[in-house]
Amino acid sequence: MIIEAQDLTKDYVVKLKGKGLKGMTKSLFKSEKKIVHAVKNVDLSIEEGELVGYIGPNGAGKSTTIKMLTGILQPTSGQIRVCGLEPSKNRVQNAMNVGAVFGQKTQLWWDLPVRETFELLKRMYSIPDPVYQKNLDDFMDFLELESFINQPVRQLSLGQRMRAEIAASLLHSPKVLYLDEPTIGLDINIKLKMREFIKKINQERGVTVMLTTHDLQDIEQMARRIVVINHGTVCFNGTMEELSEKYAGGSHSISFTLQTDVAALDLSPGLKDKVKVDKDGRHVKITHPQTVAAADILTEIFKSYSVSDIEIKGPQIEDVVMEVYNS
Amino acid sequence: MKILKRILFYLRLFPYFVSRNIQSKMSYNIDFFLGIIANIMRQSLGFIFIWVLFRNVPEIHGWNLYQMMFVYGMQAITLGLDEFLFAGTWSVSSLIQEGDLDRLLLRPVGPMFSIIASDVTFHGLGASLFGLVICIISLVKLKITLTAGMILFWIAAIVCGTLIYFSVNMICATLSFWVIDSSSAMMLMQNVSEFTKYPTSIYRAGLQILLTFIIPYAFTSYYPAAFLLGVSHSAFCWIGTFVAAFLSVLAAVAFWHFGLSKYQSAGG
Repeated sequence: MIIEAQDLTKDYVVKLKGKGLKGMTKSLFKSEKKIVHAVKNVDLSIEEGELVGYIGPNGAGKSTTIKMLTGILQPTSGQIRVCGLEPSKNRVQNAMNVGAVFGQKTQLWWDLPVRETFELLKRMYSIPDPVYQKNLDDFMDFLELESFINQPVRQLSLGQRMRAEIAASLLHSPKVLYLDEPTIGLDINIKLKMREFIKKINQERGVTVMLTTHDLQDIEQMARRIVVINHGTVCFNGTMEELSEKYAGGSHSISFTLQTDVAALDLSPGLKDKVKVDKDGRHVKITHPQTVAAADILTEIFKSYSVSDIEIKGPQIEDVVMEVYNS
Repeated sequence: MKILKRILFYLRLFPYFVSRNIQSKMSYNIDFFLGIIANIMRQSLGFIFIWVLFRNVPEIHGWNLYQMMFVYGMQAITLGLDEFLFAGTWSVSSLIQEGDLDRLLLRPVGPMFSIIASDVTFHGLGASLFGLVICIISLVKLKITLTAGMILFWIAAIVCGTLIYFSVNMICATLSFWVIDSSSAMMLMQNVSEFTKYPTSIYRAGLQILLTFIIPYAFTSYYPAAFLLGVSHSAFCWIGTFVAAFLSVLAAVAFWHFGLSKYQSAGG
């Protein structure tokens, strides 16, 4: 296991400020504190070379987990091992093994041109010349950095900046890459480019990737395994198929538009108990688990009605995830 | 051996870091000269006060004008060097509050190093230069020739004094892990440092104890000056200087690491 966390917990202390002048004066002397359990008893184990999607609603504890794994935050309790090291205790050595990109916050030097930033990183990480040169060539080529490499970071567009960020995070050839919302706010072209790049470095270089995102297409297109966190605890850990099977949102559906009103529609007894039927005027939506063959439903409907339109849908990841978040 | 390698690594990285940071400051040139001039002027104005004072009284608590000058000069040198090398401590508060410390913690260099290297302010050199001139005038006028050993002690005392200023500032800055804005504490300490422009012995006992044992600013100017000028031959003056610097740095580093363990970052 390259990343291992056991019983990981992080509490935040939040100072509550009183309301109004009276409350403010009061909190000046004695402020009330509230403990927020951002992450509770999380267990994680990620094998070398995996690409794991780490998802959850806002405030679920995703970033907090990533920050603990990178060594930025010290856990309140629990164990972490990344490449055999405890990140917050061996921050310097851990930094050599990992790279990180935070979509919401730049890791680069705002006023320095991208190229100077890379040079600075080269010295910070003591990257040998040949490694640096090879990485730089690879990334320049794939991420098309050439056009803006001499511009200061603050002048870059978000798409350019994110490409620079991910290149910067990989210059020292880390074994592990943490990506915290790397595609946030990017247009579809850049998004696809980023996904392609992340997949490429995962496959070709064997870099272990842990990725948080709100864009479920990121997950669908890249991650082989997903971990879902909500309210600070892990509520699902497995493959996409397992997730769809486990939650009803993962079922398939067929929508028909009929030529006549469907109020009277009734399915045969064998089928009726296994599916869910939503009727609305001339429209009917039949939601069924994977165990029921779509063909059976189609035959039955076609037998008794004239159909003007059909739409068949597989499991919708948005629906599945929403169900997990709400459960 | 490993530690030595690490120190060498930092020594090599420091000038590079600094040059990058200077490069990124656009208004650097004008800033550079104006800052140095302003600093020299500020120091000179303060010094005129002493000079006028001594037109009327020959000595204060056994200290004459030229001895006073040396103390004043020492304070200017050490505080100036602190401003030159360690101005980065002033940014700690915003780094912590806005969660930007994350960025530094992700790198394979100590965050304290990154903070220090992030801001080198040449203004401070103006004060140090002024202080050095004052000290040399003082030595000439007092007809004191320093032995090689004494010159070495002087240099060491300047290093110690600078480190004491840095440590106290760093301790105040570290408070940002718990309070919103620690710069008021740093401002307060800057005001306290004003006391060290004059020999500590002229103050009341309470203040002397404060400046010696609690906020050991007296070791940045008064004690080493007293020893160098032969006003005091007590070993406390020189041993104390080293001990005070050592303990201050130790306390600052320990407190900083404790603060880091309480770091909460910002946002999700």
